Amino acid sequence: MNTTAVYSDYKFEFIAEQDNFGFRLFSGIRDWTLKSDFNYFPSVLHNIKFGGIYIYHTFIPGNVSARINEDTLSLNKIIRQYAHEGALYVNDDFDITEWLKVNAGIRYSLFRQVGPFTRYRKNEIDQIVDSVVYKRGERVADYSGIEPRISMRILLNKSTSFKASYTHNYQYLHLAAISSISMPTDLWVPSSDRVKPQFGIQYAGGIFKNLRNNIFETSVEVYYKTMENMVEFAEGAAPESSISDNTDNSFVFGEGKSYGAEFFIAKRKGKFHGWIGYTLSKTTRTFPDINDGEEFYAKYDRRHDFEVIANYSLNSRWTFSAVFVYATGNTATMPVDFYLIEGNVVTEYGKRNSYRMPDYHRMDLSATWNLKPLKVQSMAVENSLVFSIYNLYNRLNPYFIYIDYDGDALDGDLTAHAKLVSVFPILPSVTWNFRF
Amino acid sequence: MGFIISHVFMNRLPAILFILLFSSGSLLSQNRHTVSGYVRDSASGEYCIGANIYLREILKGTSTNTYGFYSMTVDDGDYTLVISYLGYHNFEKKIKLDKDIRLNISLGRMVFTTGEVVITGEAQDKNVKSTDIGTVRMDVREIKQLPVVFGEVDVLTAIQLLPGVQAAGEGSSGFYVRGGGPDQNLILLDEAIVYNAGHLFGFFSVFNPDAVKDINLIKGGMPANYGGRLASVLDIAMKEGNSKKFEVDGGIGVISSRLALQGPVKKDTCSYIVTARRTYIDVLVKPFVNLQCSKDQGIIFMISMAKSIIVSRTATGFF
Repeated sequence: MNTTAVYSDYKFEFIAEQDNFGFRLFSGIRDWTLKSDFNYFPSVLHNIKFGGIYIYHTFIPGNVSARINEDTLSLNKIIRQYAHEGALYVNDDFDITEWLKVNAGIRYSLFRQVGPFTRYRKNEIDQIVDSVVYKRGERVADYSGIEPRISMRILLNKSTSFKASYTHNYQYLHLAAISSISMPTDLWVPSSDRVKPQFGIQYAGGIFKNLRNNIFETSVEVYYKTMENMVEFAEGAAPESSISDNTDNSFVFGEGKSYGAEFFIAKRKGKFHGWIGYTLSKTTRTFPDINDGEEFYAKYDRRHDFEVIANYSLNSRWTFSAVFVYATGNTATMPVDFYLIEGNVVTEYGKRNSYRMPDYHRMDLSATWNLKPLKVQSMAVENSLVFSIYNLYNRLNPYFIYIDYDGDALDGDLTAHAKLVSVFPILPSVTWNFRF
Repeated sequence: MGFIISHVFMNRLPAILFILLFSSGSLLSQNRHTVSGYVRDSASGEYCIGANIYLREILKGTSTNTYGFYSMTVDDGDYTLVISYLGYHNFEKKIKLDKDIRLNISLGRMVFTTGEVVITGEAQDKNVKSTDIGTVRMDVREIKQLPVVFGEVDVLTAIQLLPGVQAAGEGSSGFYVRGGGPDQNLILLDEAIVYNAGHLFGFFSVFNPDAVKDINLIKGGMPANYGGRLASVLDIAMKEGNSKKFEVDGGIGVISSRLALQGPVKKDTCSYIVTARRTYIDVLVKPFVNLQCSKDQGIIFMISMAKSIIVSRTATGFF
């Protein structure tokens, strides 16, 4: 038996500023966690685990604001939310025969949002018409789910196996990204009377084979996933800061689908080792209230993702490494038309995530030089120098795109330019490491 | 083209962990008994995770859990207990099982003369033989070899180099696993949930590589003991601290320096590890940018007391 109690207090503040673009975010989560796991080995054929976890969450008011030119959006006075989360599970890793092994388990999870909490209700034109106040400890919303999990391995021969798995999952916390800004944003919100838990099913299968006495490891894996109750901010959501509101009132909900194949080959031993990986995948979303209900690519939909990692130990003093990565560019939503209405520029956006940014690729190199131990009094200090070059051929990879305006609409010479921002050019560096 | 500056302030009041270990229950019957114990590194006293233990006569075995603990219940008899762990010398011992046996083992590290690096401490064919699917374990020694921006070794940038794991473009605080969102990854530091692991647009994670022992990523086929996130589990095991002798690790780099101190509080039973990292990127970029923020914090600081408490509890529980 192994019991853990954790108290964690997490605060996050994020600020980014540029000439005509700014972003600021603050949020926090406080958790009390109690967790217990038991291991039970009735025979060498079984490895049974069972246990449970309980978490009391406090979601601390956050504050988000973003600025594009002179326009500031902000989400103020996010209301503090409280919730209980728990789960019980049992899992067995079972050697049925020499060639068949099964890992089967079941998890029961539950979530309850409790007061104090105030729910603001809105009408069709987004005005608050009503509010419901919950007292401390009062139940606001209840969810629970059964999550079966199974995976199995069939040994085809001594060094080859086929594996398959089926996984059910519930998720009660959500991270909402502000859709109009393609920046890493962090705003955790719990499931509530309005936000249902996310639910996912994953089917996966693969062939695993080792070659040359486990020097080479290879695998091909495929997966298919469906996700429900995913969260996004509503299209054009620019919540006003003037009134109190629930953050989740500006959310819309939808489904996701993802499938792909992963190819992997690694050399695990020897002076020369490393791996090559390739992923072919597709990830889409369907939200009734986004993109007219049509399916669209996720922001991080990536058709191709390829990486090569190579390490070479020349001798006991020098080691060299190289990394090459290539990936299809992220998607983005771009403006297609601008209108002038009463002197203001109004932007019309194209289909959600219909624009594909340029491909991402980059190569890095490093060399580690193990120096002779330094003698400091009676101690020998092992030390090494690591020389590293990031983005060797100085590729300007896309980071995000923003629209820059020039001229004046009233003079009739307003022009809009899409500008691509890159962040990291070629970056050489050196680090001295020591140990004694 | 302007240069974007981020400013991240993170106050993860060090997750305080209290971990109590009790003897795992063994099934007692007349002719079956249990052999169990801990497997540790003989030099540092660190627990060995995923070491393979088997009984040669019946070719049955198990592996150590994240606390380096193993337990097997089999029919009474005479056996040869074999422990193997890549990068370490094998251990063999004849045991006579007619009562429950507690056997704690210290493994000696192999010395490599060629500078060859050991990749993982696992059974070499675990990827073929286990039921794990879509699972990758990375040793921090492997991660430390990779070329990195500004010389900053990072566990999160390393896992983004695996198939099925995507970096969210250059320097995003999240990673995406098999089309899942950045919120769908369960990141565990020992046993504590980490809500956001990124610093500086994710260029550096909060995990100081000097304090990390190994990382395990589950992309699919998540066992039932994990839950609450749809896409993946990233389980980061921290070092317990050297329980044999005082040790200092550190580095001086272009944009940051780091230091890790570890050592025994009481030899072989209780240890500590304290790590700190300071980036001076905020100082370096100040002349070039207009930082509009009041709080000026560039310190990334992490204290780990977690495993040292485990060690001390283990001591009282078992010895």
